[in-house]
This record gives sequence, C-alpha cells and structure tokens, in this order.
Amino acid sequence: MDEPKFEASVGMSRKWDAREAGREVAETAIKNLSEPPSFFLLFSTIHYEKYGGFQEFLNGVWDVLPKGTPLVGGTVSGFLNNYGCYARGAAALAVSYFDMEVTAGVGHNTKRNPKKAVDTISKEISKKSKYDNNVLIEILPTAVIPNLPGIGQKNIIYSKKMGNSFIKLLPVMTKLNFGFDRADEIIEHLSKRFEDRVIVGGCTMDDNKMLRNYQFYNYEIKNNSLLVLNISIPKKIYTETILGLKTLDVSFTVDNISKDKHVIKKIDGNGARSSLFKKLDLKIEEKADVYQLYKNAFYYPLGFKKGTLWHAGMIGLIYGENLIFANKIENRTLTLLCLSIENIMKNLSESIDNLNEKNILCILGFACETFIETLGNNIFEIQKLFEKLGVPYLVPFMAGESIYTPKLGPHHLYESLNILAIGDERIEV
Amino acid sequence: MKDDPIAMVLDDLLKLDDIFACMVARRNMISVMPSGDSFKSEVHQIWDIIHRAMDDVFGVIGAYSPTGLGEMEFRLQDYEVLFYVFPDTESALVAIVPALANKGLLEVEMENARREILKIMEAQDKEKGITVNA
Repeated sequence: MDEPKFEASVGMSRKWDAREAGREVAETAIKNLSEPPSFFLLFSTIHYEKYGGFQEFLNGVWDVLPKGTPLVGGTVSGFLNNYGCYARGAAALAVSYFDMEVTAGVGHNTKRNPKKAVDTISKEISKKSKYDNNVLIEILPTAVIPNLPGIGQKNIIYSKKMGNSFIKLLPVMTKLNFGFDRADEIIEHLSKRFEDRVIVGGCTMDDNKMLRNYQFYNYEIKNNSLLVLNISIPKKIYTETILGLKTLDVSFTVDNISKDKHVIKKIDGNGARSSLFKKLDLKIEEKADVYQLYKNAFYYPLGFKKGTLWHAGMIGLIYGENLIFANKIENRTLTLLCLSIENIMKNLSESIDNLNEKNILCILGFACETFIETLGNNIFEIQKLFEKLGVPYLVPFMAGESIYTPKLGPHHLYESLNILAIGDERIEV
Repeated sequence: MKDDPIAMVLDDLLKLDDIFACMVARRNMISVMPSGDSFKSEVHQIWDIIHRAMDDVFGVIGAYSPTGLGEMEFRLQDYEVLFYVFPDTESALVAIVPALANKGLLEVEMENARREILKIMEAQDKEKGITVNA
C-alpha cells in the first residue's frame, strides 16, 4: 500500500473586512490540498476587531473550511510566511494527512487558575494517542494591563502611594483574569501531564499595547483560554530554539520580591524602579498611552539563566517603586540582557541549515513580537532564511513563547523563536 | 485620485491607528495622497512645520538616494516622520506617526506598502514603455 500523502499549505488574507478575510485565508490555505485538512491553525492581527469583529472573521473561515476540522489560533502582532511578512492581516496553516490523529482541547480562566485550565484540557487530550510520537501545540492569552478603577489601563503609575495601593489589587485582578499570563506555570503543568512529547506554543496578543487579545477555538472566539492541539503522527518531529540575547556586564541584586515572584520591590538596597532607572540612565515618562515602557523594557530585559537557556524577565507594569514582571523572576541576581540582531540571524541561520538536511515537510514557528519591534522592516531578512527551506511555513509573532521537550525541560521564553518542523521520515511507533 | 492604485495602497496604510498621515512625495511636491479625507486630525495643527522639515529631508534624499539611501526619519515634537525611499529616485513613501508608537510593526507595513507601490510604478512605466532601474 502507498504511503499516505502529507500535505501542508499556508493561507493568507490582507482584506480589511473580517468576513471576507476569513473566507480568503481559508480558501488560500485549502486550495492546494487534495484532501480536506486534518487541522487548521489560524492567526490574525487585532485589526478585525474594528472591521466586523472576530466572530465574523471566524464565520468567514467556516464559510469555506470543511465542518468539524479542528481549528485553534488567536490574535498576534504579525506573522511571516511564504507570502511575506505582515503586521496586518490573517494567516493560516492547513495540514492534511490521513495517518494522523488530531485532538483539540480547551481550558478556561488561565490567569485565575492555570492548573485547573491544564486539568481540563488533560481530560480532553487522552494520553493514549494513536502513536507514541506526539506534539502538543499550545495557544494561550498573554498578560493584559489591569483596568484600574478611576485610572483605566495604564502601564506606568509613578505615584508611590497609588502604586503601593494598586499592588494590593493585583491578586483581585488575577481573579478577574487581568494581569500576568502565568504562561510559565502553564508550560510547567503541561509538561508534567504530557512529559513524553514536544510542546510548543505562544501567547496571543494585540498590537503590542497589551490591552486585549483573543483565542480562536473551532467555531468560537475565546478569552483567557488555553487551547491545545495534540498531533499524533508517525513522522519525525524536530524542534529548534533560537535566542538572540546577549549578556551585558551589568547585574542587579533583588533584595525584596513578592511571594509569587512577579513583583520586585527593592533592587540593590533601593526602590526597584529608582535603582533600575538610575543604573540604566532610563527616562520614561508617565503617559496615558502604553507604548514607551515596552520599547525600552523589551530591548534591554533583565534576565536569569534557567537550565541551559537565558530567560528574559519582562517588565509589564511599573506601580510606584514596584516593577511588575510578566513572568516569575526565579533568581535573586539578574543580568542585563540585550536583543542582538546579529545573534538572532546567526543562530537562526544555523537552525535553518540544520533543518535543511532533514527533509522537512512544513514548519510552524512561534516568535517573539520583539523581533518585529527590533528589526522593523529588516524582519524580511528572517523571512529570506525561511525561504531557503522551500516548504510551507508560518511563524506568528506572539507575546511569549513556550517550549518543552523531554531533553530541554519546560521553558516559557521571551525574545525567542521556537521552530517545530515535521519531517518526511517515517518512524516506527 | 479615487481609482489610483497607489492611492489605494496609501488608504490601507492610513487605516492603521498609528499612521496619522501618509503620502508619496518628493521635494516641493506631494505626488499621491490617500483617496479619502486626507490626513487624520492629529497632524493638522503641526502639518505646516512638518511639511517644511520634510522638504529639507528630501534634499538629503535627492543627494544620497543614488548611493543607496533606503530610509530616513526625524522626530518633531510628539511626531515622527518616516521616509521609505523608492530606489534610485528622489521620491519616498512618507508617514507621520506618534513618536511613541511601536514603530517596528509600522515599519513592516511601510515596507509592504513601498514594495506594492514599486510594483505599481513599474507596471505603469511598462505601459508607458519606459524601463526603470528599481
């Protein structure tokens, strides 16, 4: 009997109208497949919120996509694929392969109770899959700036009095599903439940303002939901983790940190914000908008090493003297890092060369939004590297990227690019 | 201007929240504007000074475009003006954005717009029987 045919295809739309864009992204994705897709990964920028809404966008997809196709995805800041690199529009990856088992699952209230969200999806994703060779794709929401009474969604509040008061509200905000994403906890929980397989994914976001984001799960638009897609397949799976971080000769000692490890109160004996700004000669104005903090904080993150990988600590909020990080700060000594374009290009180039020797069928990558923010229009240089592979590829730009392999362990990273590649080599499982 | 394909590319750019104004221009001349209601209200009060500064920048673009100048930008008060030069010409795609905008995302869309406009220009020149080196 002939080996079943594996097909992958990338879809794309630049239309503004949500419904039309949904239809077009599905049409372009499935038109090259000779069989209906086995699963459909869908990503879009936040713009459709204003041009018909995401439900209409999804309705457009389902106008075209065969009913019952497992679909997961969400909003991202941009993406690169075989068509180009974009910060507006929609993109999809459709894969068709008869000899593959695909199961989708959803867990809710990721910020309020990440463990429960993982428990819920664990019931849906059976550990007994068709093959022993599995990959779990994970989509979850990023942090959202808390909506404070009388203040709104603001990422910098310099008043110490107000800042200290609002810090006390953070646990309440978490219960309301605002605040940090807890993606680092989720990847830990998932890796314990599914320790035998590769897990790769990322956090949905808006246009880097951190005000809202959405997840797409089959026919529904979700908020604060963990989506997973388990793919059980007798094909070789490859992963590559690319970090472009460079360590600088500046370090910080954390003197006082909250129990949950998200709020640094004192650095080097002084208020955390003052210490950081003084040492880095930073001047960030308190403004109603949310842009400037992220531009500075993302280029020069404070980091710590976990296992073999550098983790960038992402400052999401400044309340008074308190620095509030999106992820847990797991070390009392932090090193100043910077995102090096040279390192990104060199490391990615090596990974692409590595994959080029493997007879790859398709690529799904999860990259950090900072890559776009740092590279700007030079991001097309990254796209050129992917073009060398000559296979369908889709890389959404997200707000935090998770990776787990039994060898690497669980990591929720920032300023990284994790690549998942399905190879043509059949393995006996 | 309504059916001008370049104006349609500019219309798309102007729909982005952080693009306050965009145009294809050269020194002392705006060649193509978006087809709708010109620019967003945010730039109206500062347009005269920005326009004067732009003309000075086009002097530099004119001088260095033949040697490979690709992009330029300047910041004026709370605004930033981005110039994406069309290769080997004195013209550029210009956008006015908030100084604190997440510029990386905008730069990607500026690059896409530049590429699209270049294609349109090449097609138009072909129709006219002109060969361009772009």
